[in-house]
Amino acid sequence: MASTFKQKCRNGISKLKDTVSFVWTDITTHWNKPGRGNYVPYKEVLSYSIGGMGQNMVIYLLGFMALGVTNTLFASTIGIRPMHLQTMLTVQTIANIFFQIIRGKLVDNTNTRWGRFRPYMAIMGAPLVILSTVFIFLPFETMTYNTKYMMVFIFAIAISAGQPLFQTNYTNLGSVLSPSSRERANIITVSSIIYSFAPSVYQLFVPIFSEFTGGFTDIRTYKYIVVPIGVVGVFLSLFCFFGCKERIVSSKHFVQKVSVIDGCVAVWKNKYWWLRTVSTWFTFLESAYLVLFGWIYIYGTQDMVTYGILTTVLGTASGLSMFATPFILKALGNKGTLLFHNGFNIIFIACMLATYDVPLLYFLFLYINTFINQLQLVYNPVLNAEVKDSIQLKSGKRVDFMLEVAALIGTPITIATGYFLPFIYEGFGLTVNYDVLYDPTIRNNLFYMLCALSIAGAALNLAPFLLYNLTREKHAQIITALKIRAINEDYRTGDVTPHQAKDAIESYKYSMERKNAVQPDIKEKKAEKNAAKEDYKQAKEAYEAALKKAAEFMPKHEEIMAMPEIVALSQAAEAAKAAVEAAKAGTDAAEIPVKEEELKQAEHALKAAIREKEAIPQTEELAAATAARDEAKKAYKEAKFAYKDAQKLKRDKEAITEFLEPELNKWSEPVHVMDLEIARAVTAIDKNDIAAADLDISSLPVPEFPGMDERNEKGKLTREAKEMRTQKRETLALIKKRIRQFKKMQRLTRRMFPEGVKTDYEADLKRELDVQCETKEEKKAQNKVIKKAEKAYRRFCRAYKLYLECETVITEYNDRNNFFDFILPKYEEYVAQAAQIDAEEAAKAEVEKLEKKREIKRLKAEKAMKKVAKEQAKMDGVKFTEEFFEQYKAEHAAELEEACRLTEEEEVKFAAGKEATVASEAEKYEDATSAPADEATTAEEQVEETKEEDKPAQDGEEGGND
Amino acid sequence: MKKKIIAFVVVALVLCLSLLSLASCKTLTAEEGFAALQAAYEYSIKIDEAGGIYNGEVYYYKEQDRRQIETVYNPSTGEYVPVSLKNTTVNLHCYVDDDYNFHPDQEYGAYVLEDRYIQVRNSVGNTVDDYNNNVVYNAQGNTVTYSEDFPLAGKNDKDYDLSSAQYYGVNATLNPDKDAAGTNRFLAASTGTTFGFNVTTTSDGLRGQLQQQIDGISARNFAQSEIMEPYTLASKLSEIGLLEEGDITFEGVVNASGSNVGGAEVQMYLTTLTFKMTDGYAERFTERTGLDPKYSLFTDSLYVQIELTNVGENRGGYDRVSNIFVYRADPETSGILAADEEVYNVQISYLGPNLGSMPTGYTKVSAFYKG
Repeated sequence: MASTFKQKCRNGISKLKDTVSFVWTDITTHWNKPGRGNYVPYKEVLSYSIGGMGQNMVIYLLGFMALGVTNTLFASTIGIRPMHLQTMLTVQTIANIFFQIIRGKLVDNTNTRWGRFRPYMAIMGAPLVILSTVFIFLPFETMTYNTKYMMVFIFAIAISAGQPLFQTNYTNLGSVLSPSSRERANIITVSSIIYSFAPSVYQLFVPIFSEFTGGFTDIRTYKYIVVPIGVVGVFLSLFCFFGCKERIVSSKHFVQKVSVIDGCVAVWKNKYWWLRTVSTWFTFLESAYLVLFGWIYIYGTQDMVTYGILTTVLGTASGLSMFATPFILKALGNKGTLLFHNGFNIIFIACMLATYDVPLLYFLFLYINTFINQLQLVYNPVLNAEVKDSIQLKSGKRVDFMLEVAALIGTPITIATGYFLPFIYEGFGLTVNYDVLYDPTIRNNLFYMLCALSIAGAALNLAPFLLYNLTREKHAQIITALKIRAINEDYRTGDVTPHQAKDAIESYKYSMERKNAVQPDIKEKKAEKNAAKEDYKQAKEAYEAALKKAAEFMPKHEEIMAMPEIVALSQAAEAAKAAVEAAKAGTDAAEIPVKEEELKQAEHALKAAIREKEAIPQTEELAAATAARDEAKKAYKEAKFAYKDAQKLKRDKEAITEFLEPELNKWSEPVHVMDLEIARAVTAIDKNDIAAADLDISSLPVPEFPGMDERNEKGKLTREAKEMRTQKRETLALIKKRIRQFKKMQRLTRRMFPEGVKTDYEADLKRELDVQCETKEEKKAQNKVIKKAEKAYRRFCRAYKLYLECETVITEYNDRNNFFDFILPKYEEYVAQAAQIDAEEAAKAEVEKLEKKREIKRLKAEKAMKKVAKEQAKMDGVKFTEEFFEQYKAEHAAELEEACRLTEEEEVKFAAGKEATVASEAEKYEDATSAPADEATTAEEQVEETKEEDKPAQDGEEGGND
Repeated sequence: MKKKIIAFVVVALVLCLSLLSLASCKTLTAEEGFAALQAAYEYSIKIDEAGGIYNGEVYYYKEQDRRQIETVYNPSTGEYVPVSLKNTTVNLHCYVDDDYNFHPDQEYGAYVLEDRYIQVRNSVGNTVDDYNNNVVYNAQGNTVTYSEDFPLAGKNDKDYDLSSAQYYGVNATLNPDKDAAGTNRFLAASTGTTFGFNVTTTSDGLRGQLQQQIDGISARNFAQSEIMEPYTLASKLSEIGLLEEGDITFEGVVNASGSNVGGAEVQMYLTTLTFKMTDGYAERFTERTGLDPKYSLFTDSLYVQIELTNVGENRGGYDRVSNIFVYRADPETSGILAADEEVYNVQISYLGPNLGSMPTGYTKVSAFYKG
């Protein structure tokens, strides 16, 4: 066993050596030129990483310029009152809305030869650091409070206006370094490991060095320690500018954007979004305890060395959390993880409340709480995505950016609540003089209050999520509904891929299976589970009893040792031991390992024999009890699974009823029937006749709302009745909205297009976007033309907004059956196509991997050969040149070829993969060029044919509901 | 579902209202305000008495004085000029254990840093000269070190006028002992005690740096000596103790821009008193102290703001004077831009910083004149 372990270790080390050697050769070979399949050389990756370190260091300095009541520079050192800081922060928050718009326009319109994001890395770092440095070196000792206030305000606002240009553009740069998403992900992973080295260092050493400059309440710390970090950071951040290149240019193709109002309204109608947003409004309370850790060490123990070390240790909590999060997410699901996080938050803050006067114990709970808090970094994006999906299903709009804009509705609340904590601070005497925190009475009273507030905040933060019921099952059905909707549209435009179709069909089939499955009685299943559990418990007890009884028949240790076979083995072991002693005392050293091996075997045999004798005898009763126990265990597991599955089936059915069925049947709902009616009426009018049209939307027939007054035995409205009433409300609201929109359209078309629509603005814009330009002047001129076309198209969209929406409704209606008519029947075909694509991709990937391996081997072999060639040249007395080496290589081509060879198995794989790739490429080329034009039928044409077939059925639907 | 939402909203509202009530303020009457001030004064100065509540003298305060009542000698012009800004930091500390028991026999220290900043302006208001004068007392263990840093008349560090040091309280002659060096190089003419003296040329011109070390005086005794007396907390707060109820009013207190700022409010542990002095206060001050009214903190002020902090149950629930701010109308502003000018403030921290390190701004004398 020991030898197997040693062997495994040796193999492991050998593999590690090979990997390291492979990686090193890869890096050195592709230092200046990217490897095959990549776009970015390693030198550039390192530049980006070093730039990241620089960016981190600059942000560290700028962090002390951020307005906030816990800012040690503004509050503890300079002495600005908490309420005044909060007032400045309020002004800054409002100003930032405008700064954000300006910054967005600035970046969107940046188009230099260095790219869009690099210029900001070059030009923003230095001014921000200079501003911060000038501020820190101001003569605060001679300033009045009013002057200090003004200086803090001016500098903080100025820096906050420009900081995002520097900070976020580093991240943006990472997303355009390579067009390959795989390579981008690798670059971001590697660079984040490298640049996180910088904060690890300065977070550890700054508090330690601050001991010599008076700590974080002394301006000298900022002057002589923090500022130099920022200055060094500026120089390092320039590595991003000089060492990186932007390779992705954002698409020129115009994508119709969602209007801000429409997008925000779609978000505000979503209850899940509200639950999450209201929860964040209590963060101000929950985060009250965060300041305590620093204050305990700055004002309490006044031990900066320990503070520095503990800050660094605290940083590891995030990393550990990243490892644990996937497991927790898998076990608990999103909502479960969220409740787990917030629930334990409350518990650990309560522990901190009890231990704030014992710093290390406080730190322990803080560490665990930080670990738990990091979970939100993973589940928040997931929850965000779920909310976005539910908004998209309901409104038909994808609202990525609008979530941030819609959240601005809470700005007055966050501004108002921002004053609460400063009010508390001042109430404890923390006004201009933060030195009162040195007084333990004041400090501890304040700590107690902040912890208590944090617990209240954590509880309020958690409360909305108790109402959050967007389960995994519901989200899955939302996704299925979205997939079917998307595939309906993609079929019309000819964009359906085999994988997409296969995925959508399988999701639909699963949903239908679950819908049609018989729902077991959950209570019954629970009872069965409990009964099985009880049976298992009893079986276990019976087994324990039988085991105990059987153990009575076990011979005692002394009896076992007295057994003849045991005695014989014992004697053999003794003899082997004696032989080892004799060999050691002897002259032949080679004997020793042999004798030792014999001793080992003898001891092993003796131990095995004793173990066998000591085993509890397998009586009949014990065997039966064991079998019964195992069976009971199996039955219990099955019952448990059946119970869980019954619960899941119920959730699935509810989710299908809530999300999927409405999507599949939506064209039979009154509101959509009405919408279609209105759309047809509007689009029946020519665009140029809209202004003068006399269409009266309110006179269109309104669908019926059956079952609106149905009540159950208790006299309450049934679920269906409630839904129908909702439908009626929505239908009437829709009619009103469309009337308003139609009148507006008439007004706008009269004013903006008095002579009618002369051209297809959308087509014009698309045409201009596709124009290729060679020279800089052509590009400039073409950009002007594009801007003009965009402006005209936007104008058209604004005037004909209702018309375009109606056209979309009709298109969606016409596409409604594409999935069922054209995609679903071809499931087997799509599966086969997808499998083929997968096989080809796998073969291609394998080929690429082997090619890379071969290339590395070749480079290694060439390197070795170069050495030998140099020796040869020396021996021959000639100068070693490239030509000499080329000739040498040619002479030893066979050797080189041999050195490059992969293993037999790999060579076969490579050849097969290469053949498959070539064949598939040829087939694709053939398909693209050989299909005769007159036989080609596009998806659009198929849909048109179906429309023609459907026409009589459609006429029958007008004016009524299904 | 709706019921759950309603329940949540109600609970959240109740909690929010509770939080708001926690943060609310209570207004005191004028009598209550004055009584709170006097009580806080009594409690604050008790720490200066041996056997007082804290059983020792431990506090830390930072004072900023822009009233320009002191003058110092300017060797460039040979005149006495007003001190534009005086920053004083005083730190009396000793070992305080976890139960807040004081151990003045351990780690007792007394620091005083007086940093006078002088700014000389011409008739148009432009600065024509500025310089500093620092005084530091540092008492640790059984040694007291006195240091002073001041401008000196002369051309360079070899050719200077030592007699100009007398304007800073230093009357020095060379030590006749030929072997005397370093701290023994000079003798104070009045006492005969030795001290060290150094001359350097800086961007502010020629500077004299003086250091005197006195052994055999414990830090605690020094804190109770005459030298320390002007810097004690009792001395700084003495004018509050002399106030009578008729000296101050909370009514009709307006700032430079005309807003009403007067009042006495209690917000949790903080009591804020904003008042102005009644007519005739300057005369009453002179009558009580025998000093010129210019030495009063509150005379000629627009209004005064004093913050009292309650130390809570642990210390018997008493308030102490925490911060004092004195405001005048900024003479350089008027009309809608009229602003308050803070001419004096003192910020007091009890029990801290419990440090042995030097306060901010102290420049240690690094070398002595070797001669």
